[in-house]
Amino acid sequence: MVLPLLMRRTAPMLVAFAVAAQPPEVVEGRLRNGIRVLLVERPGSGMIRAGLFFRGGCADTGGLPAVAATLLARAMFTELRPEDLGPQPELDALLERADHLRESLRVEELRSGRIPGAPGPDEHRRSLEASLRDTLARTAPWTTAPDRPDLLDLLGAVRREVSVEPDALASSLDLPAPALAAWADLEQRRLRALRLARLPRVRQDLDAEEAAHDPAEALLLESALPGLPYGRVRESGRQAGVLLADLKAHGREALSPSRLAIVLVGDLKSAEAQAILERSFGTLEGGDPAERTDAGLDLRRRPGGRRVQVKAAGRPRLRMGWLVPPATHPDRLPLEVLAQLLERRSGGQGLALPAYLGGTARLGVPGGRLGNLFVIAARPEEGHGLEACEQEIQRTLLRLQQGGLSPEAFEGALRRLELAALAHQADPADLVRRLGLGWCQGGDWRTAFPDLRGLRREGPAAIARVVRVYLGAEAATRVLLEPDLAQDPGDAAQAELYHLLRAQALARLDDPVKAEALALQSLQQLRMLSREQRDQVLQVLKPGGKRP
Amino acid sequence: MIAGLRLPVLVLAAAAVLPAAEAPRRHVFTLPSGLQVELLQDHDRPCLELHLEVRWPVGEEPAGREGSASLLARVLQAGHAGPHDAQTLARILEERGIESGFQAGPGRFQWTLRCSSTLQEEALSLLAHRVLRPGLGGTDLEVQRAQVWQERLSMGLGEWADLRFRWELLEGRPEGLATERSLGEVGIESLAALHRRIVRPERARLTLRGDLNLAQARQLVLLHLGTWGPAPEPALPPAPKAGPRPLHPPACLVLGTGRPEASLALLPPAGPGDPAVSLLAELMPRWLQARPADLPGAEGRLQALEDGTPYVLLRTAAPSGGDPADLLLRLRAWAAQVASRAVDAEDLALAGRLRAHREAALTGTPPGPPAAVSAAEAAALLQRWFAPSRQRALLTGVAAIAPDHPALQGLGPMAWVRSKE
Repeated sequence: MVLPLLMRRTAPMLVAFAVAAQPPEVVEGRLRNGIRVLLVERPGSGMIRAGLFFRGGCADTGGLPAVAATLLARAMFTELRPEDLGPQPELDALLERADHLRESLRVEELRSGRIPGAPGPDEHRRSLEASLRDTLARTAPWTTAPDRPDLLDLLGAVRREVSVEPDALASSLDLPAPALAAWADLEQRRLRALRLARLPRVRQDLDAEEAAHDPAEALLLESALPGLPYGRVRESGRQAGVLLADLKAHGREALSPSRLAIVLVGDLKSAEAQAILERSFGTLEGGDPAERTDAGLDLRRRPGGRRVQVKAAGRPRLRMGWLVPPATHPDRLPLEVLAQLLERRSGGQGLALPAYLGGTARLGVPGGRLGNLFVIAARPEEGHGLEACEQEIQRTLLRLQQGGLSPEAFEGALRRLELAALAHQADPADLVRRLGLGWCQGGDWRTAFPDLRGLRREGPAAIARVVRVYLGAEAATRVLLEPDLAQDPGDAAQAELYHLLRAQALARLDDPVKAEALALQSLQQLRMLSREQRDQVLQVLKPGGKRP
Repeated sequence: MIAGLRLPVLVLAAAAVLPAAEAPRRHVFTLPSGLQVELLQDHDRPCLELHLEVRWPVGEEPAGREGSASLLARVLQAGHAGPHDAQTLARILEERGIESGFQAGPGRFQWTLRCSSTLQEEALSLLAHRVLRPGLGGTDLEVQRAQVWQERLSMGLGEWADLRFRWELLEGRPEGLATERSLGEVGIESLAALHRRIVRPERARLTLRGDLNLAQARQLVLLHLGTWGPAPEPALPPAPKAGPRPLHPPACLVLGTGRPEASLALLPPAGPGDPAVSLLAELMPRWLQARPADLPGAEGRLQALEDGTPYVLLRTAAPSGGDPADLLLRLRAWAAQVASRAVDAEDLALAGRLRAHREAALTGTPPGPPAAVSAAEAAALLQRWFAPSRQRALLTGVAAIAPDHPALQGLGPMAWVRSKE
């Protein structure tokens, strides 16, 4: 009788000991110019995952908009062709000219927008566009000719990724182990040359991506972190003003050796790899060796309490954000566990977000070296208003704050974190990413593999504590996005409903603007009803319609 | 142009990319039922990941009950498993710290489990319950049905048109999309029959990754999935991996509303298992980098359908006042330009090496020998891949378009998307 009970009580503890995630065995080094090197030996695969991680990302672009980091990273690292390695005066001249033409075109568009009907703006604009097209066409032999070899392809590199985070720029790839020396040599030559030959094409890609951009996240960050570096990392539509010369100047600082960590995981021998890197990357000029000492976000002056309501295409959605401490703070872990608990329906007992909210919870600034934003996003099912969702989220947080979390659910969440940490270590790409970002965001790769023992000792009370300290109702910034029903009524039935409501309102009000507003308000309220109920209303409103 | 490079270094590196393989960490075996099992041994970490995927031809939904696979997916998602109802299962997973997931797409169901390696027996047992005994009767079918339909209703017309476009690429018959009536026809019995028909061992692949050796893996899989035998329902047609992939009309969907845009999809005549398709897919992103001068904002991408088939998607938006039909004409000219490329042996050798490395990086095993495809075979496939008869277009923001518009020449018939029905 006692033994099974004892087994039942101790089984979770035994499991916890069994899976306790150890950090990976990393060989750390430093090249003579200050570049950090992190190496993990994984013999047998014949492949190496290699990553270059530069500390300082889209939240650290100085006077340039955040998008400058994306332009720089993509123009620099998406491809590697011969022109990226040596002097190319003709190409440089063409790129400069294209850049000036683009800027002139932008200024012209701004001017013509401000002074409608100014003499000859269209003709001038057309001439600028034609010159820009012609100049870009002349760069094509260097920048888009598919017959010119990509040098990393020739080495056999695959799964190439370029990423831009608020605190990091990264480029990583898988390459055959014997190609390590050739890769290192090519990369150091590319960094030395700092040519941004693909910039025109990267600009076009970004323009296309921005068209499909959901404004919700950007609005939340801007509202919750006004005037702070993380507040503008998602802003869009600013790339036109970033010139090639500015970008190169920024690149010389952002891609300097003092900001670089090289991470290699795979079929390598640490001493040999270190020697290879020393012969290649070690020859780069050092730059500023000073460590960064930025002050973090001041949590005491949390703005909070802001509420932003916006009309936007798509389904209604809600974002709530609370300022929380940076990656290195001990409360980061309980906040991660909290995010997991809120999202999991299986936790039950009203401690997770209800399913109808379509909710997710996470830390909103990847990494968050200076601080972070705890974000709950909801995309509720039809029939649920955003205000009601907001109240439901607050109620859920209140239940967690009052300590409703069971030790079993807490322990399960910790175990899942441990398993996730183990799984990250199994995949070399994931491991490289975590090591590199850990260094960029926390100053040490170990911050990416936190020790859960302290949190386990504190128990579920830790979750109640972080909710109480950081996630108060008064500290929340809320962004509510609702569709403009006049422009996008959703489906044919709603469109018909809107027209009928508008006709009814116009019959009673003289002012068409007021009538429109009344129709929209009514439609908004009717959207809370089920489809059947809405159909019934539609039948009633139709000419000659009767009550069912 | 390449004279400035340290060519000997590059050539040496490229030539000597295949190191001597050590003892393989990857094992593949097949049960008598046809279930394929792949084991990726990794004894460095005390955890185990299970991944079971079942694929089937999307057209297997019975006529008149379209949407039943989506409904089945929701029921499977609900999480009943053998003797455990959803709540009990959730509690077991919670207490053991087991991560469990389920994903569904057209023609594909995937179950995943991640746990400590000490729980391997229990994990396999739970997986078998979830896959084979999902307790369809224990779910509130009406709630799930309403949610499937609600999801469909909440889509905008543009989103709907995009879904239909992809669906037609995948299946080649638009009637596969659910309607309120077809969903209403689905009952528990027909759902159970569909489950038996599509969740079959010969269509499934189980991957085990983690702290497990081959003998343990065989024993566990036989114990828990060995009884998964053939269903009484008729066998499905063979997997379309390397076989011809038919396409059906309409070839062009037109939507009156939305941002003026043109998209052109080009679907290969064979599936992802075809070696020539996989080699061309490796080269395609590079070829698509060169955009025509008259389409500065266009993008060309290699994408994959849910069944893994790669396809090329060319897409561009019109500047204000532009005509999407004119854009389509230019996209088709771009496609013709790509199709006229000469494919040489050097291209194919590079693609073969990259393909082998990609697989090695994904599985953590040494690269195997590159696939051998002749230049003539590849060139012929490229021609067929980009032929007008295999092109499918989506135009949005079009007020009117004549059926004999030059942009539609050589394409199949056109259809207007006017509603989500």
